[in-house]
Amino acid sequence: MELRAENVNYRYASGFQITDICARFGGKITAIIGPNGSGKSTLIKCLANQVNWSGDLYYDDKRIRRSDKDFYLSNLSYLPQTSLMGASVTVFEAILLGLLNELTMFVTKAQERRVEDVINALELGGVAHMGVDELSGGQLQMALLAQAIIKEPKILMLDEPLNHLDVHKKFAFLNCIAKLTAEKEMVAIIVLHDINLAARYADSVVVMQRGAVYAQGKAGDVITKDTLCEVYAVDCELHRSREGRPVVEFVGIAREMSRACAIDYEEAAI
Amino acid sequence: MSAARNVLYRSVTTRKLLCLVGLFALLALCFYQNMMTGASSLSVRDLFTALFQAAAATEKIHIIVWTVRLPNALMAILAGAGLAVAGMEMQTILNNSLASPYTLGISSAASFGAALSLVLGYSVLSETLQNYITPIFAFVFALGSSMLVYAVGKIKKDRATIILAGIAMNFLFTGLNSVFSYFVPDETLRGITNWSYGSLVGATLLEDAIVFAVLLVCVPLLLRESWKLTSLSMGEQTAKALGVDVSKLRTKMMILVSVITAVSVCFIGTIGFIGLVAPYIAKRIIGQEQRFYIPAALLVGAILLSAASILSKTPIFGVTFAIALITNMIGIPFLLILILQNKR
Repeated sequence: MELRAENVNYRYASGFQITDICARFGGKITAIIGPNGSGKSTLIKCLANQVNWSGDLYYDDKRIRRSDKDFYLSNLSYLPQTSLMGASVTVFEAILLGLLNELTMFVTKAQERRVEDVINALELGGVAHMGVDELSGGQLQMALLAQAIIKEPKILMLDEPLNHLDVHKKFAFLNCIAKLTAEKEMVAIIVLHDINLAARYADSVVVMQRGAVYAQGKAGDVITKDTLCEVYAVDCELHRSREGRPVVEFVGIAREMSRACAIDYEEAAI
Repeated sequence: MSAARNVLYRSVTTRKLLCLVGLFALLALCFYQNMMTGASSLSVRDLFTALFQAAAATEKIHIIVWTVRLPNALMAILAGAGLAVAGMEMQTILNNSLASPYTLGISSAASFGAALSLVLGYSVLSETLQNYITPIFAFVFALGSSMLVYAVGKIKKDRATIILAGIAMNFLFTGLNSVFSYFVPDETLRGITNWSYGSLVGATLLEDAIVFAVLLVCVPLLLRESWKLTSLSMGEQTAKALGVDVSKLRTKMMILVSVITAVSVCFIGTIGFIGLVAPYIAKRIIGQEQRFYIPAALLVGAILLSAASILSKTPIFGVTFAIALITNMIGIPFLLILILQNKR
């Protein structure tokens, strides 16, 4: 299973744009990393058809047209960056909304069972009948993940899903995604800020800079000292984990060793 | 474990259904009390005779029940339900719990439309024709102002801006109404004043039937979109991510809500706060899952306006108050509570 994007372009009214993005999202988990304002969220919004973008998207070499709403509704789930919500809707009802396409006035027993299964899988039993406005950030994120996966999508896109989570929950969340992608032949594309988590969980990594792809490939090949210095303007040491994946130890902002990197980063951020 | 939770979901659904049944029973009680309350005393027997054995009732009782009390009580239910559901869906699509036909200035626009018809028509049209023209003018102005509010919401996405635009509209139309008072004869002025205070008095069964027909068409259309509207209550981004065409849904709902608001206010004038208070209570009782929230808001709105109608007919310290004054007295503390806790 592979998702391939070619010549993806999108321009905001403010002028910021992503241009001619070509990227492959194969394997189980692909992480999109890059500094703030590099276009990560914009790219994932384009792929999830949330904005009026131009370019081509292929799923297993079959071209997906933007107008093919059925493909997006049946096969793709997208979880945007979220903030805490005030809706008086129970977790059960919120998860049920993941089946929006097939819901009618009466919820069937089969639909109820599907909600139950996903609640069990994500261990949300304790909060199933609480309001989403009563949940902690972590619980809400798990509930929204449940909403995204209930329809068993072939492609799961998550935009900075770890924002409100503590370190334990971050691992639990990503373990869950890893398990899902292994069991369900699902392609997961996740925008991440934590480079070590990207290195640990992602099979492939796309590095964004200034609205373009700076590098892409296997985590071990892409996450290098030079790339991180160039893209983030930080100085770091690189080690290898027991599994051979890169582990980054950040030293601080790149100084004398690469003033050019720092200037580059500042310009990109502007 | 799973089976146990399944039972829990069923019990939550059953509880919501029971709440709806309870609200319906309360409404029936309010309707009965509203029918029984008024200047002339009426026994239960008189009421039922007039309703179900019209031939056996005296002419006076027949007129009281069929021409005054029944149209009045039915209008309280229908307009209350209409204003409540309109307010509730305005809150959903604008994502703002302060939105309602009253706070967004739609009711005062209707009031201005009615006043304009009286000003333009008093010398030209016959009284019968005026009776039809006034609601039509009110309807057109209510619809127009709803669209204006929606347009403002589209241009400026900030939630506070919509409410401020509504307040501005309120002032504008109230001000324009006052301007009329300098130019029209006393008789017309009385009509304008009556209209801008809002009243159920004078409602007819034909008017009831018109409001009922509009609700009968519009409410099922709202219910058909109930899951999409529920997703929208979780935020625009979530709804969009779930595949909802938010812009299309908003436009469709705004048209429906405008029609419901316009037809609800065009016969009864400006009655405030039902569209604000009823959704608030319904949400507290039943939550925002719209399959239940819509009927709950309809019922609570109908109950509130019926209760206000009863109070307006009951002398308090020897005085009877206009219905709009009563809804304002209930509504203003609610508005303050909402402002103080408003997160969205």
